[in-house]
Amino acid sequence: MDKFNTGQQKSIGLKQKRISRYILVCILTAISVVTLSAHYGYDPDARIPRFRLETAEGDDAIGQSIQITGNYYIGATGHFIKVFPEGTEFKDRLPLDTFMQGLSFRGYRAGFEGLTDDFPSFMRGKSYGEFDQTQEWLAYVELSNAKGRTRIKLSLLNKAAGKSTVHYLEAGGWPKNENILLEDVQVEDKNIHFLLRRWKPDSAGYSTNSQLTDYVVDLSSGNILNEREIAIPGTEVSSQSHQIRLVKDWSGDTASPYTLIISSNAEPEKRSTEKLPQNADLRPVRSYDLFAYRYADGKLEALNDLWPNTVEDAGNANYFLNGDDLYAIRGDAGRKNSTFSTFIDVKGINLARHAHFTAYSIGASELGSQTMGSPVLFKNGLIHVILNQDSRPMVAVIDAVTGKLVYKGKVVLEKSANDEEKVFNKTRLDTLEIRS
Amino acid sequence: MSQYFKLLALEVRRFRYVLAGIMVYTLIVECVAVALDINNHSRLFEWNNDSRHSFAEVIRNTQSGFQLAIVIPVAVLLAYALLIWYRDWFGRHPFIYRQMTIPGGRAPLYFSKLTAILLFVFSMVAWQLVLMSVLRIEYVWLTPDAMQEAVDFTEAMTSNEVFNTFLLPPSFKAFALNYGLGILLILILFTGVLMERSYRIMGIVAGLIYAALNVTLLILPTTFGLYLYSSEIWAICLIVFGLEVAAALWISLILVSKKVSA
Amino acid sequence: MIHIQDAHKRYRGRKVLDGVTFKAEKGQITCLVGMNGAGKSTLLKAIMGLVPLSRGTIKVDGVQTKRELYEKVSFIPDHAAMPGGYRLEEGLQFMDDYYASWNPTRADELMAFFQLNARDRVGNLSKGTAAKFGLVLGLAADTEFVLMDEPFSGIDVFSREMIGEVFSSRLVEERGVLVTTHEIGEIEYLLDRAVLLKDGKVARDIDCEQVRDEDGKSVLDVMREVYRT
Repeated sequence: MDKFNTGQQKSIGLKQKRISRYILVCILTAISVVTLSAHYGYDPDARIPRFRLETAEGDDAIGQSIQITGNYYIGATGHFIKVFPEGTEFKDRLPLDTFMQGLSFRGYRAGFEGLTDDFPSFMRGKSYGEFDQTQEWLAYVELSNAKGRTRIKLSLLNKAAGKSTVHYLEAGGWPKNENILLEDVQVEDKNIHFLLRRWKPDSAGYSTNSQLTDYVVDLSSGNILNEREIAIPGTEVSSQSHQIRLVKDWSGDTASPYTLIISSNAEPEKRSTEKLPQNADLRPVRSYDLFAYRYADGKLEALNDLWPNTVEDAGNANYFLNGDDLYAIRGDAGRKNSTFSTFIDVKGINLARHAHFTAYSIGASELGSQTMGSPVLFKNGLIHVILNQDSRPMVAVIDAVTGKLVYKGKVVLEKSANDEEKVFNKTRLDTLEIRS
Repeated sequence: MSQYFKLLALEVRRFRYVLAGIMVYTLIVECVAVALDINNHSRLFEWNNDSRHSFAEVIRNTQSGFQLAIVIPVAVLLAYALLIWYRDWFGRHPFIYRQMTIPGGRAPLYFSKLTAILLFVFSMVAWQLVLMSVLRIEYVWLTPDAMQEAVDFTEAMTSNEVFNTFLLPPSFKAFALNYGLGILLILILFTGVLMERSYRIMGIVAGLIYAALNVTLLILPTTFGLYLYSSEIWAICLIVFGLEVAAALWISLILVSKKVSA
Repeated sequence: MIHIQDAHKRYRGRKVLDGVTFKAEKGQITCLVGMNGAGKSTLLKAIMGLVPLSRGTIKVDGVQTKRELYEKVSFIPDHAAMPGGYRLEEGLQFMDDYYASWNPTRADELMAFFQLNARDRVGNLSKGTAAKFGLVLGLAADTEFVLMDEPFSGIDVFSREMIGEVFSSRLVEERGVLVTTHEIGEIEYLLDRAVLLKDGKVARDIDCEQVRDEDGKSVLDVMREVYRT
């Protein structure tokens, strides 16, 4: 059969069909590209509003070190934001960030961020311990375990030279069944002090024989120069009734030569009238003894004569050390089991002179708000407190000695809008931080 | 290249009725959900004249309606990610013979199927965005004027939890993350299918191990939170992601060119 | 020439091909003969790259690459490999789209010869009609080789006659054809060579005419010798 043609000829009908088959692909691609770019390309910044910390009163320079963090809620999802005088920063946290935040045990600490930015290689992997720094040194102290014994791991960074060294310290041969807690770290001139509390558990599991020891270590060599035992009365008793709390130097950049030790005892048979949450037993009444420990010479000074404290005073106060000055700041928040107070009481003792130097009280209404946040922050001799007026956060900064307002800042929207109230309703800026 | 486009057009045309079907399904379910909610609130409004009802609130109230509207198309698309291969293998008419013997290599075949699936996914997402406008019109139409309350579009969009978390997150970064992972998932799925078509049962085992390996490697950097900073972990995860995409493509192309059995 | 060398293939644990070597020349009709499951289909699919070989090489005109292969070799499988929902004209469209060697005029003529309706759907065709359509798809292209897998199985007598006509035409004479079948009787007169497969190996590779002239045997006789022992 030779009638089959071997010539090549394209029929016309096929060509028409060829073009029409691409129509669907083109339509779908066009819809996807156009719609999605319009949705995500159009004014993306409008989604999370921009805030700013604006000076309402006082010195701008003080506001520079303040930032307020919190969340802006879109739907039920909180977006982490930081507000400071220059504007807003949002980490734009992705699910991965939240997931990882859950995995790692450290939370977000403003002080850490500064250190991490300045010394990234030194700060790597350091998050559990204590740090302290001077102009020359950055010291990082952790407790580590080796062969069932606890020891101190001291990581030192000489900032100028950029060199870091690690020292491991085992002092006094700590046996296995001792519990050890690193209470405080203090760099003092050429030395670093570790305040360690060791205790033995008794048969019921409470701690007994608490021992507070100050180890003085030379920064450059890492050698232990001295071991001082701090004898606090009452430490022989088991911990249910006796507790020790140390107040660390929170001011950050001034080295305080002291640390405050609060030793408390539950008075037998006495119960307060306040109920603890969750229907637990009534809160026991405690008596407090305050001591100041001086690092330079190991002197332990009792402060009770200066501070005839009542139950309420010592238990609910926050203490701050600024050089030789010790401040006790107490709000009424603890009582009401909330994080907001209506007033704060400030008392100051100079530890070198063993004398009061100031005492005053400030109410939230004086600062123009119904409530003030608790606890307060203390830095450079200034007390920082967050205020919440009509859920628009404000910050007040008070001179710690005089109690005078030196700065007031409020959070405002970069671009003011009609529905400002709605925006602020979705915001929860409640954490005050001081940038290092 | 032209083979790829022709094959892509072919794949899209073959799916057009199903795609239209799920689009219509989503439209109907969401319209009904919105209508029902407005109707419910109308009754409340008769009692309490002050209780206005914004579009955003409608969306907030119809979470399950939207979930229903979205879960079926997602299931269909996921199933078709597998079927787009398997439908041509089984049955009385193994079209895969033709697809595998087209001049120009097997790569156009693989990429046409891949991009077809991705095109369907993004079309449905875009369709959902279009639907939001349609639903808004429906809202304006159905709701009595006195009951309406103005609200901006973003607020409405962010009232839906499925949108916020998965489908249409507010930030583009989150969108890129979600869909980047989704694309990787499809790539791994395709690799698994091709492994099965090359090595049958051993292929299924290999595919499962391969998938597990990918997931593990992607998550692994996040466990180094003690030694690495967040930004570094992110960078590593991104690199791992890139490598996994490349590996999936490379393995799939080798399998489809040399190892697959018709 | 299609040259298969030392082809091995394992399928589900069984050695389907165990070192198969033979050639199919252009201008000749070569027949692969074997019992069911002897690996005939597998060999055709292997030539087309549809099935990978465990070992061995396949060269078409001395070249092993796949890129140009499909313009040179057509494959007519035993089932119509077009989606059931396709109309015949869409199937022809497909071939036209992807193959430069497709000849649409010849396709139309073949469709007319086989009396096929372009508007029918592939899924609705009878076995005979589907086979004819398969031939259209395979023969309308200007390829040098055509592989046919069981072209006559399950086909009615009249369809078989029509297919036979095509075999004798110039359409086939100019090309190399490799056919598989286990019913050799119908087409013996058309064959030039026959390759008999047994136990995964080539048992006999014969020139049909030569065997007829010199030994007075038909291919069927040779088959009996090989498969009945």
